Amino acid sequence: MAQAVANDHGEHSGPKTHGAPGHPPTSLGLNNRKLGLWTFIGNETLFFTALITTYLVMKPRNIALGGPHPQEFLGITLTAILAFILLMSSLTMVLALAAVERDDQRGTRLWLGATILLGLMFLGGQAYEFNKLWHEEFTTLQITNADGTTERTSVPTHDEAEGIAALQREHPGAQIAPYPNPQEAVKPVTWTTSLFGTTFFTMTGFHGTHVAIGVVWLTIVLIMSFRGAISSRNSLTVELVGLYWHFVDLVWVAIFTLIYLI
Amino acid sequence: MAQHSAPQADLAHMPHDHAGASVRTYVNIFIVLFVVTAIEVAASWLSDIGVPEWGEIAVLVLLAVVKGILVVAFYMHLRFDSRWFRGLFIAAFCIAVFMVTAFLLLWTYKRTVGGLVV
Repeated sequence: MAQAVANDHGEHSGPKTHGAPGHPPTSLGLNNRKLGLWTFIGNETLFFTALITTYLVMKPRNIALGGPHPQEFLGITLTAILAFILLMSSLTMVLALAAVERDDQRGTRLWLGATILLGLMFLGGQAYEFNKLWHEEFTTLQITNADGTTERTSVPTHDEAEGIAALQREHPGAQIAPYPNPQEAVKPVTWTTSLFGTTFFTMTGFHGTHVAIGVVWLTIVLIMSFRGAISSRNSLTVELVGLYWHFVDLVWVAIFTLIYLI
Repeated sequence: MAQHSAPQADLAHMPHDHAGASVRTYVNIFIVLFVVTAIEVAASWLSDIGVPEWGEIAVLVLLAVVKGILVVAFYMHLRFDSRWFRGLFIAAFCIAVFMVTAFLLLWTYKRTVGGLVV
């Protein structure tokens, strides 16, 4: 019969088990905390799916209403860098877990710190993007097609010439002119000025909030590590924050493709 | 100090923590993720060189799925962890895919039948 001994903190010093610390093994042999986090991740998957679905459903309506086309002003360069930063942070996170499992305290702190730093860089990049979008001015245009039908569209004012050239390539033979009714001009993209703004900022804002929560959680674990409260015996503490962090990365994988690239 | 014992049979059924994943594996996975992301960015211009839009979307979604599987399987250790966790996540993912597909089809259908532009 194997012996699993729990210390004063309820941590096992015997064979690694998936039972809750300080309690007998569960009937499924699963750790309660880990099961709880995976259930939470399943729930969060559906939460973000709802936000992404809303964006995708509203996207063509936003364009049909003359709202700005996302590809005209969402920068792939910045978001590709942000995607790289999050992928990098996933690597540092998993390296922190590997370090704590071999009781490498210095490595644990180094990689946890690197993950926090990369998370903060991501948040800084997102803040920059939000600020840029929020203050972007648009020029509203009317496209008169060869068959006489008209459409309303918009291009970023600072890049108007290139935007018009792109529209002319998309609509051969069409006439493109300033929109005749200034009152219906497309407004800057904020949370309330267009379907795109509402769905985009809600979705990416919630993702950014999750990143911020992850950074706070990681910081708490890092402080615990400095106080000597993290070791291979309770590596699950690092594993759980890691699972959450990788999920946040996973959501960005979906957002990056579905929102920025497509 | 609390002390308790666990039956051998219970311990035998408890899945071992991410056995099989090493630091080298983690770094290799990162390199693959980085390369796939670079390919994704390049693939986003496929429609500009004459590839149909549906083709570009299919390639991008496929690449994103590859990235997602790598993250979940290796970084989140589902490949090595309990099948219960795997089932939990796969169930949520299947519902998510159904949700996206159903809503997109529903709204497209509604727009077509109504003859509405928006």
